[in-house]
Amino acid sequence: MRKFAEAILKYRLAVILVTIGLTIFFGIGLSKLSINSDMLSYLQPDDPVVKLFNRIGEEYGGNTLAMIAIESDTVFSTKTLNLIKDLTEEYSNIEGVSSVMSLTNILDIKKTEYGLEISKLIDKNKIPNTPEELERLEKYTLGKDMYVGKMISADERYTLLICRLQNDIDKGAVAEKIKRTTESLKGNYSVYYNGLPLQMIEISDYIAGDLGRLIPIVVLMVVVILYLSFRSKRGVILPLTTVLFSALWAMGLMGWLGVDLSMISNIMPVLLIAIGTAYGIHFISKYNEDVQAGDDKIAGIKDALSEVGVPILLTGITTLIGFLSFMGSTLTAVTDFGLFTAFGVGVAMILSITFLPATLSYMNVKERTKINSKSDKSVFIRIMDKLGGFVLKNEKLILAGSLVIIIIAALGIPKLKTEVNMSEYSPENSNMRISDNLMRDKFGGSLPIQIIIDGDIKDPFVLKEMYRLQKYMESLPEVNNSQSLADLICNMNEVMNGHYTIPETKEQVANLLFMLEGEDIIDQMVNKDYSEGIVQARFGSLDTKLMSEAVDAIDHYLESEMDSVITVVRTSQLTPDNLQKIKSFQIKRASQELSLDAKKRLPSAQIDQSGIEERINVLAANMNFPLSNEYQNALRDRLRIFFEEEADIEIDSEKIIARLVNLIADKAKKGMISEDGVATFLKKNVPSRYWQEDPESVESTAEFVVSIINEQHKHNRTSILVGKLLPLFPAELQQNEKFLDDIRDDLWLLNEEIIGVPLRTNFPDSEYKVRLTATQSGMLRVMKKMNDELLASQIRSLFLALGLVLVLMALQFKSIKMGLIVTSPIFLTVLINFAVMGYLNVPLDNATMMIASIAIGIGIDYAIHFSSRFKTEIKEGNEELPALEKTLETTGKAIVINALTVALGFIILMWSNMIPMQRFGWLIALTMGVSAWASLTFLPSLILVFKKRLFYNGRK
Amino acid sequence: MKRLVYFTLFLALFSASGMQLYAQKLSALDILKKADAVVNAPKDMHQFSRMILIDKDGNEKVRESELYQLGDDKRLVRFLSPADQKGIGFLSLPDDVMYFYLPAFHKIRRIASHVKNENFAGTDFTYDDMSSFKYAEKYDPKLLETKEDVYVLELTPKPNVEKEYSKLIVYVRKDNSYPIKFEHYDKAGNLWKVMERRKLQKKGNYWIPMEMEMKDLKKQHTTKMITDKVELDSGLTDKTFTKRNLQKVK
Repeated sequence: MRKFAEAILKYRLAVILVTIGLTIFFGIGLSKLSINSDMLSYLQPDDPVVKLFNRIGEEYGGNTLAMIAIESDTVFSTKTLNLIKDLTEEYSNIEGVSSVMSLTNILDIKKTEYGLEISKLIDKNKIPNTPEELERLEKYTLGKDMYVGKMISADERYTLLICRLQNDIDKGAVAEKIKRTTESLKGNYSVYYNGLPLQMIEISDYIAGDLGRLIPIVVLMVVVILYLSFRSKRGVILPLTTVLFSALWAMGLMGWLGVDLSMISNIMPVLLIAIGTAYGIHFISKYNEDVQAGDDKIAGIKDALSEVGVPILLTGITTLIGFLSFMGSTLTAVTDFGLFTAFGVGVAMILSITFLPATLSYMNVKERTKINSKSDKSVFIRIMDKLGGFVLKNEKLILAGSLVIIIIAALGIPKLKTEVNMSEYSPENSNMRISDNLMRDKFGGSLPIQIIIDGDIKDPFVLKEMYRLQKYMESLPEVNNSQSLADLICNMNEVMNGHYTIPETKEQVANLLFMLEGEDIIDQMVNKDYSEGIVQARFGSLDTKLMSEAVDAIDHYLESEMDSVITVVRTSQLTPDNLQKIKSFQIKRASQELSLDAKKRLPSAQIDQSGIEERINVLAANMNFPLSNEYQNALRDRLRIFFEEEADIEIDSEKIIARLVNLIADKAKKGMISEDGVATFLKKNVPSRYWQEDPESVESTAEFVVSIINEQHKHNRTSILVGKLLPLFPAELQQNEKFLDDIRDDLWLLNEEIIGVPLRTNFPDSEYKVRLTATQSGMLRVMKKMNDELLASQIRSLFLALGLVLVLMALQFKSIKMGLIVTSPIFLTVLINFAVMGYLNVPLDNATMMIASIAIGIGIDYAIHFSSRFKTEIKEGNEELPALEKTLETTGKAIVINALTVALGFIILMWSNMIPMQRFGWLIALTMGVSAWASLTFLPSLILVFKKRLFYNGRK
Repeated sequence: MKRLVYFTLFLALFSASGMQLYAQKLSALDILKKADAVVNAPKDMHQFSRMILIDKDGNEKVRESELYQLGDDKRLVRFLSPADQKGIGFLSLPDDVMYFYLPAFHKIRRIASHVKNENFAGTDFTYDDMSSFKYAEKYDPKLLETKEDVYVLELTPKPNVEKEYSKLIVYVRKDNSYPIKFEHYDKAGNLWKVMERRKLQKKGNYWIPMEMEMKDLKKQHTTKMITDKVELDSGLTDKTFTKRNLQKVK
């Protein structure tokens, strides 16, 4: 080390110039540094779960949604609707916004007296402006599950506008424009911003705000501490310059490497300034000590450097290890933070033993330290001496006390909870938190769940599985607002055919889809070639445990309940035996769906599923109900129009048509009729002049007549079943219009003639087989994975840091036993840290998980300093007490000052905007205190008990 | 003397431009009316075409269809492929009466009239874009420019006519008066959709574009209609344009 010191002094000018040169170089890098507030980009991009999540987000636009919630007394006022319309239009004119969805342009499928409409919910050119129109719109909108809780809150006070941003653009910049547009148009309305792009703006502000506020505070604090310690300008300026340089280098390196500043690494400069100062302090104290002892300037530097050079390196390296142990975290932001902070620590450490002494060598030795104001010293020393005496007399008591603490601490650890929710990175009353709460309260949540379905999405049985999955998902706590292509198909089917179900054949699905093609919303639900579809839902809680449970429940459903191979059978081709089996299968399914629906509409309802199943079984034994008067009339009306306007057989006599309609209706009221039957009947009853020229027209007319008759029978049958089943449900549900629709749709299942059964039921006579696979993705899945890995990565990083430090200590002290003893205070510190977190309900999250390793890296320094000095003192022939006193007076003091400096530096993080950073700050400050305390009491006690052999070896 | 020359020159110029202004006003409307007449000249039409839908990544979807048209306001479109959508048909009659037929359900449904601004079956044409090509009835024209081979007209919706567009720029060929390009501007004044008619062919007395393209610049989506076969004035009657015929699928 002495040679090193000589070299530094010899080339001192070069050292200074190189340092300044590098500082300029990194300063340029600093100007390239940018802030990245995109939380999703912090996820490890190579992780399969994250990869899938990112792919889905990109392809279906989920990761780039900017959501704007508008608050009003009621959305259904002309003024509010006009604002929605204006915003919708303005947003879609912003470059980078690929589409906008709002009440005024959302796809709406409905049947009216004027015909079928596939249009926008509200015509933007005719915003309702009479109370009647508004009331009609209100009633209609609130009656549709597709809108309530999705686009408009159930209390009709909030509505959402959702902008999808293009993928390859500066999301932040587009979000800025969206925000500006909104602010300029919103007038008196309260507006809330949600969705990643808009949140990014806010987080960027927090990051920049933290940097601007915390750095001056920490610099001021360091100046004060340095001045109190050295009472000299150089004592302030030199260490401060080295830490400022180290922070600048680390950030400059990030800039050069194109690594962005994140919500986590933004605290790096604060940490580097707080931690790095210690190295300078060590060197300058030692220098002062040596100069006071009579060294001249150069000799002082040489002595100081050769004495504290190794300890500085050693403590620096352990700190570095602490930060490097974050490699392999689930967040790239954490890994980056560890890496660059480690670099910064390395820089601070190296500059303290190169640049600092080199500069010092140019300064006049005359500026004497005025540190030794008597009273100050004596008070401190008296305390330290007392502490020494106490430790020496009560070593066993201290150890026993520590043991008690260890036990209490160990009991607190099981209370430790994990937390991966990132919403806490914004302050309690920030727009982000408020809007997040709003999304949870009014719109079912802000965390997306996504299930990817692979298969032929146009196949009715794939769609049916998707729809079944949605029903199951919505039955889980906090899972809301499920949505998929199946909903749109059901909606179209309802408008065409009067029941909200997936149709039975591929052609029917394709026909319905034809009407929807080109609609924006389709792109968010299915890929181009319909080989992959997405089922989405929102999660309404931030509770990590509930989240995990929901993810697991869905995974379990996908694995064991979802049919991955479906055999499709046609009832007309089944043996009576198999037909019976199919019937009970359908009845079981229908009862399951019924009880899920009942629970959804009335969560408190007590539903006896097997009772329902039994009842349906009885009712369905014979389903050939005669047509009620209502359906007979409907049948007649329909047949009349058919023969008058549509039938291939063109009959121009109203009389003949009337007779024909009556005959057919009479025949059909008892039951369904076959196509051949109808054809024969038509030939008999329609004068041959109408069909002789084109005999095929009879067959095609018969085909239509059968379909008309069957339809009425199916409706008739379902309405009878509904009437008979309804009494099994609570009165409240019997009044619920939505539930009445549900029960109709669930029982419609029993009408179906083409049925998909799981392969495992081993059915013969299959028409074809359908295959599908389902995989869960979405933010919830990612968070669950992060949560699962949090503990693992905490343990990994903890053991990595502990292990490496232990090895380093064992090497340094050339004894494994001594290594263990020196490491033990830090072990105690980590234990207490977790215990405090456990008892005070501070969750283990992506910030607090870093504490243990950082505490090890920094805290071990105290133990190193203490034991080196103690060892030296003993070796020099001192007895225990004087040796201990001397160590406490000198190194002890340094430890206390150092711990205070670092702790104060971290305490400053309490002024951060981000709550996890606040917790991180005070917890690290606490661990610094604990670690200093343990090094000054627990460590000497341990050494004394384990004895002297360790130290006296050298002497005796 | 010099002054007089200037004055005369000025007068001459003024009156010339005044005349031109008058002539222009007249001829803009003339040009548009002529263009309408040329486009709507065939009495009836039966045409087979391919509809190609091209998304922003260049993926294409092809559908085959057949179209019957009588006059300007009766139209029946029937899709022939893809197989699972074969037979789907649309019938439009005067006064915004519109029906569609879904063969898989054996059902005809009426479409409400106020869906005019919705896109027709996944194409970039709205129902309104498809419904009538008589622009002079709905728009006021202004001659912007006379180029070597085309007139450039600016069309603004007449008062009381509700349109999605703030204006159209129309390019009308000088030689045969056929309008070959329509630029549609949105209400904010941005160019939104561009329609082009290409490959004009003379069939009997009529000019027919064998290719028509509508490009939606906002959606980055294009619809191309390529005519494979066309019969004109084959004597179609109202009988073709009935619900009965709509659901007759061979």
